[in-house]
Amino acid sequence: MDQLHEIPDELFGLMGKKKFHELDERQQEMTLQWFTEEEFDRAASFIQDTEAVFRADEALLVPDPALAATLSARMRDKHSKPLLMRMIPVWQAAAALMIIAGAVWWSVQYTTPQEKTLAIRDTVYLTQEVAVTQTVYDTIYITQAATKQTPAQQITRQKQQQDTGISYTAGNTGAYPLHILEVSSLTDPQNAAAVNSMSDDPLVQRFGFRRF
Amino acid sequence: MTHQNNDQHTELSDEALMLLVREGSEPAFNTLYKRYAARLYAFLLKMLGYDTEKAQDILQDIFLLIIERPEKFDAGKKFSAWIYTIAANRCRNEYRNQSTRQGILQSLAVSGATAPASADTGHDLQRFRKRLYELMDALSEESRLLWLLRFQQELPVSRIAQIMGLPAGTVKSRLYYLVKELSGKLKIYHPYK
Repeated sequence: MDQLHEIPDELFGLMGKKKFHELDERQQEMTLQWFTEEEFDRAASFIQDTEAVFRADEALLVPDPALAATLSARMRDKHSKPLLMRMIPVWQAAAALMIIAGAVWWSVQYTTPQEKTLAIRDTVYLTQEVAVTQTVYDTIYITQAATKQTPAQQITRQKQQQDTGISYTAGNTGAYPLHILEVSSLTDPQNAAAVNSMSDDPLVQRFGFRRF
Repeated sequence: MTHQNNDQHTELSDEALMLLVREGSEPAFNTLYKRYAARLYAFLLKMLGYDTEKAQDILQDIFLLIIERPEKFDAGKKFSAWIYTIAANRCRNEYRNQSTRQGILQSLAVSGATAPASADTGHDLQRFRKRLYELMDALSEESRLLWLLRFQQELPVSRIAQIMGLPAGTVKSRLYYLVKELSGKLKIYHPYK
């Protein structure tokens, strides 16, 4: 049994191709260590006929031709996946995660947070109605006949009206001439304005009125 | 342009194409699909007793995994070992639900798949085929997986050991006994050999 473990592989190959007499001297010598000439030829015939039967049957039984096309399409589909859909080795995924984690850690450690005031600016348009007051100026001219009367004439006329019951118009006011002082007579002491006391009055002083 | 890219990609290794698929290269994915879809489908059919619907579903799931989770592939390892490990695990899950499992011959009859008889092989290939599938139906899940990985997918022992989670020596010894057992049971179909 132990010797059988040492049968050369070549011997089984020779059985499928040659008869004993076709072997060269070295091959015959090797064969005779394990088989007789008759055993070898019987085995060789059996193996060669078996292979002939197998070949004949296999020619009739071939895999479905559609299988080749199906598998080829599957191969094409698998390797035409988008980049994100592709499988990557675990070490690549782990390396990517470590790089991301390192970047986050670095940004937290070495960057100072900045206070930011959020200013929101907006523009609001208000519509306001402005009331404009337009002052229209106009000039009205009134024509009136002016009567030149002194205040004294006016007083006299009012007195005549009261006395007579006659209304005097501008045409008849000449019946009672007024005594109109000239400007120069204002300097006359008797026409001077009264002062604080009657004793200071020039008329009283002239005619000797006494104080009551 | 795409056609030119596809031509350029055909020269790249599976592992280099997976790096391009991670970067979203559709031509790189299409090249990987062309390299592996038919082989995986044949493997799944035999593992699942020629249940075409289940084989188709699992095939689609495996390539969807390449599209959706390309980072699941360890760039330091072989792409073929990774993809067959996924396929084998899915088949193991299906095996747990024994009610859905049916014989390979029954499934082939339902699917209408029949291999043409060979005129120049020196024996009746159809009879051989019938007996072969009967024996495969009778194999354990692990033995069937081992058989298909080595003689259908033609993977080296080291890769099979990686897929099945077994030491390379264990794979070799199991393969040795499996070849001897099956060839002995089918020797009547090789009267001239």
